[in-house]
Amino acid sequence: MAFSSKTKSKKNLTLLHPITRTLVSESTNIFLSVQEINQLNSFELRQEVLNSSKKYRCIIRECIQRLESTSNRNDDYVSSLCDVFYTTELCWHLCEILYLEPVPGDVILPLLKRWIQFHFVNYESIAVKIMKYQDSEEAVSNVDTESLVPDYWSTIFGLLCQGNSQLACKLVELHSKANTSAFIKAIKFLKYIPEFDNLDAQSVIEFEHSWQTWRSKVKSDVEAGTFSPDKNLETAMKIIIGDMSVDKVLRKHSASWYQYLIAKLLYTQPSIKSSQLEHYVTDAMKLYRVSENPELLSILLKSLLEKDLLTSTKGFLNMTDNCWCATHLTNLLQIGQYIPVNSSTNERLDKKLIIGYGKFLIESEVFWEIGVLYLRSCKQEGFQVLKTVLPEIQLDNDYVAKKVLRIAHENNLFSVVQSVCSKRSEKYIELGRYVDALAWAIKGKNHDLAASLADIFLNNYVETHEMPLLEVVDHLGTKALFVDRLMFLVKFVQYCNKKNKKEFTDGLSLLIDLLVNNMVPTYFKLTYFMEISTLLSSSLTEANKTDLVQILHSIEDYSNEFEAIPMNEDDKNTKQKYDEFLKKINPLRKQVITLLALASLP
Amino acid sequence: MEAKTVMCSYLSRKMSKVRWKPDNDVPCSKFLTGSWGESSQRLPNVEDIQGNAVQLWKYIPNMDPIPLYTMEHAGDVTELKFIDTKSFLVSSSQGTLQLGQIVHDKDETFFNIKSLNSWSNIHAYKNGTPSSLTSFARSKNGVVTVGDDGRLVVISLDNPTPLCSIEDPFNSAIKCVSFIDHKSVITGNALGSLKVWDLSSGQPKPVFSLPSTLKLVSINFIQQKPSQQHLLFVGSDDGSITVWDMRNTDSPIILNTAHNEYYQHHPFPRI
Repeated sequence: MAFSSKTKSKKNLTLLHPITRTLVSESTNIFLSVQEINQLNSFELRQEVLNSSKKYRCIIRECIQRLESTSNRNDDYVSSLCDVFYTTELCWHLCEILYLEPVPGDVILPLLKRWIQFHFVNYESIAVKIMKYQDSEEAVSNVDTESLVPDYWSTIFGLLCQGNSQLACKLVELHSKANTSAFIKAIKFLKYIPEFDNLDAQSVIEFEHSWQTWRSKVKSDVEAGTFSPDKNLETAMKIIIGDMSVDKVLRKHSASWYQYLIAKLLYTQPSIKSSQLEHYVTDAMKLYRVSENPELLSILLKSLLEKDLLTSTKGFLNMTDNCWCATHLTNLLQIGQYIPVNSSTNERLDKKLIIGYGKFLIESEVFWEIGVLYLRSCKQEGFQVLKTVLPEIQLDNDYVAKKVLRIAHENNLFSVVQSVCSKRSEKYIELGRYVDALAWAIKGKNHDLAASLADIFLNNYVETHEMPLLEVVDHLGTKALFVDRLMFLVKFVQYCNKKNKKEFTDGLSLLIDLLVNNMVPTYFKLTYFMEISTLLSSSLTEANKTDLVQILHSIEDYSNEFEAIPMNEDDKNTKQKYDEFLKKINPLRKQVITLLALASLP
Repeated sequence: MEAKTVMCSYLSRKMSKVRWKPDNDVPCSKFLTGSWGESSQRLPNVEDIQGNAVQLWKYIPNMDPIPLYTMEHAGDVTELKFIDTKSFLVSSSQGTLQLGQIVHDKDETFFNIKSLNSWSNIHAYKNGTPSSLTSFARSKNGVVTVGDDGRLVVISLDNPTPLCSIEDPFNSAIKCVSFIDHKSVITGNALGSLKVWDLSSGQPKPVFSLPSTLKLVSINFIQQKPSQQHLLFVGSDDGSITVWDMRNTDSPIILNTAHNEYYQHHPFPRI
């Protein structure tokens, strides 16, 4: 399904119109319920598939109606949308008849006739107008229907081409000469055209027999010249017996090859089986000169009538509806087991389409939550795609981030969880909101981010002696203990809290614990020792001998580390630093030694 | 409760909020919706307002809702509340609060939403990037708004500039706010902490924090029980609802994990 970028951008707009957007949402519900019907037995399953197909068509029609009623219906964009969905519905309906509808005795024409009558209502609406006019006062005072209503006969021929003989008959009855013998006879023939009716438990053979009998009666009357007083009436009668001489009339009154095809078959092969349709398709197309360079609609209808599902699917893919129709229809056919599953690879034809459609929805910005539902219906393959497309969703704020996160959690997509959290964390770092950044880094278990944020907080403490996490540390919870640096930060904040509460002894033992475990980062050590010094200066602090020895050890270790750094005598900066270090650390050293001496006194 | 038919209509926007327009004569027949995540990219030749919007609808039983008016809205609608039968407040993910009023002609055929006042960018980060105004609460005297920028802003509805705006620098994004009494509010943040603020001096001052047990779980709503105002219902990301009695804040009185996904709003039925 590779589209050029130009066509893709054009295609994107089809489903984004405010009216077509409702189609996307509504079809999702049908789609999801269709995925559930897999569990049913084969009879119920096919019944449900047919019902769902009707539901889909119903929402397409509603969409077309709403598009037609918009104020700017003549606009190119809206009219192209109407065209797309009109074609979709016409083809979908034919597909439904040929594949999903149960056809008694495989006599397909009654259904095809209904299809034509349903979609092409022009003759019917003229007929209704004529009949209304006939009832009006103006008509009563006139006698000659024919001259007053110029479309009179052409409407009758058109109705007959669509197999609507009942309405045609009603029109003929309106004729001013309706009580002449030719008309009376014609009306009788029209009224009693045999129709295949499954409800009568009629067999196909019985139907064929009654149709042949009826036809030969009409034919003999035509040949006997019964209808010759009225040429038009005679043409009408010739149409219903499938006389080749009126083929031109048939063509004139059928706007397209498929209408002509049905019209012709209605009066020549009324009991034709769906599998035999293919023999007549090419001829009809040739007559209408569409076979050389057929437009998409013709390709689709041809492939459907020829029961060539693969070509049909390809045709649906070429529609400019972002594969909306191809996806839903193929899925329906697959669920109803009308498309075989590839036995060697166990691959379903519809999966690729669903994934493609789901991906398009996610990439479309506004539909991404719906897209997730489609991808999820494809289980493993869908999850693979979800993994790659979910992190691409633009996270404008926490609200969106949380939605993506929830989906990731529901589907156990931990890589997505991590990616979303890291993105939010990075965003908050950029915005200078370090507490939120840290919270997101912890949620996403991002070691590097959490460690570097811990460094930010600690460095900030070195410079300002302010600890912004005092209030929130309890809310970070045990989840925060996955990185050493973060663990140190949390412990240090706990110490700060103790210091604020003047729990100096507890505070000191916490600090010493961290020293013993070697968790204090080097850049923080000097500040750390100064904290210890402050605590030791307070009379509230009780330090035992072991603690003091430990502190002394640590000071020595630290001094050694500092001195081990190679020093160039010209390097004033380093020297200055060393002097500062000594200036700060020596008093502490003295302080600890004094305390130790005091503690050693008996 | 009497069983009623459920009507389902498909609208062409993603909705984040829906609020009945309070009416003196019950039942309500109009409602407002606010949308989120709508593309700012315009479609060609579409006359309708595109992107995020606040929309007014008319509800007639067993029919699709009829759109009466659509007002453009910059950013996602994060909260939408009526303050009387005509006026409402709407907040945006771009840090703006707007006071709107529904107006109509005598026959109620033409509707319009008039913007009475707007407080732009009252929530923003230090670098000027707008921050989401996540929630607001209203008392007789004014409105308190909170946002992802960790700010608390006090607004008087007749004053075009905020009365004061303070940052809680040592804390995370504030997600919701509710009045406890006429001079104090409570806020909930993204880490699960609940904090009470005193507004009596005009400048909000933090008074104390509730010992919430939530760890790194965002609080999404705080709602007072209308009949017993000392009871607060607090909903959070993990789907739990905690009930706090403000007369004794040592620990919550009920902890209910009714939902397994995040809980967004807990409306009390109007009595």
